Amino acid sequence: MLEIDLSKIDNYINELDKLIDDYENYLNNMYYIYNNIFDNIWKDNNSIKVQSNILDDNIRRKELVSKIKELRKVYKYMYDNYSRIGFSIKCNLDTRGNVLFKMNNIIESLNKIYHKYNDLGDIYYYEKSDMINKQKEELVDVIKKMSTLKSKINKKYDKLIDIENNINILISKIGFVKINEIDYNMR
Amino acid sequence: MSKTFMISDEMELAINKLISYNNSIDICDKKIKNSYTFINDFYKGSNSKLLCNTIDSLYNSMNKLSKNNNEYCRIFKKTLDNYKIASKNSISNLEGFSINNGD
Repeated sequence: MLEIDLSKIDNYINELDKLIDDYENYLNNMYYIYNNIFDNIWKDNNSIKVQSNILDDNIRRKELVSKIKELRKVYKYMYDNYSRIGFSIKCNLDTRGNVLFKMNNIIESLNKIYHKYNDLGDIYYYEKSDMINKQKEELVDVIKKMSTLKSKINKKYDKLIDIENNINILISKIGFVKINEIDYNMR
Repeated sequence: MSKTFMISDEMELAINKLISYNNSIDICDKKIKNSYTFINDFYKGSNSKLLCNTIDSLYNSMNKLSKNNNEYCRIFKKTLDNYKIASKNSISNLEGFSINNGD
């Protein structure tokens, strides 16, 4: 089942932007202090070990921030693409075959009725030929509308599946960051 | 290499600031972690599980980095204390003071 409510996602993207800004600011400030400690306060064989680990962690932190930015791109993609279909979407993609099968049955039934009109032969001899002709034209119109609707629904299913697949690719690209936990055994 | 340690309020101030930034970063981490309960409000689809697992994995990495930061702060405090004690006696008292990385 696919359920989308885009009314909240725009606010969430803005919140995420602020979160990323805050995150980067805190990290810059933190690594400025670390640098100050190792440049001006503490230098010995132990400090080299700690500094090396901190520098390594800094690289991992930056990787993580870039992955949060990729996550933001996923939400932006969701918003931009689903909003072209609707702001509130509820659709069971698994029932596509069933829905289209039922629509085909309706179109087929309408076509059978149309052929019955054709079986009437030359209707100009009938008393209400004008009315029959009009009904026949209306039926052709309904069949055309039904076929167009079926085609549109089919395309919507294609579009929704395409968006879901692209979201999957975007999320899969994010991957993960391996972090080594530091545990100093200080005597 | 020559040993240098400036025993000053600056180090204590730096440690306190680091603890404060680490706490702020923790809050950001938790906001990311909690976001997947919020995501369910606007998206339920074939990628819901993958999305939540990805957020979870990112949060776990963030969490480990925060633990590392706490460990660095602990080591700074310990080092400061050790150097303070050593300076009261003599620098040679720092013999036997070493850090072994758990990894």
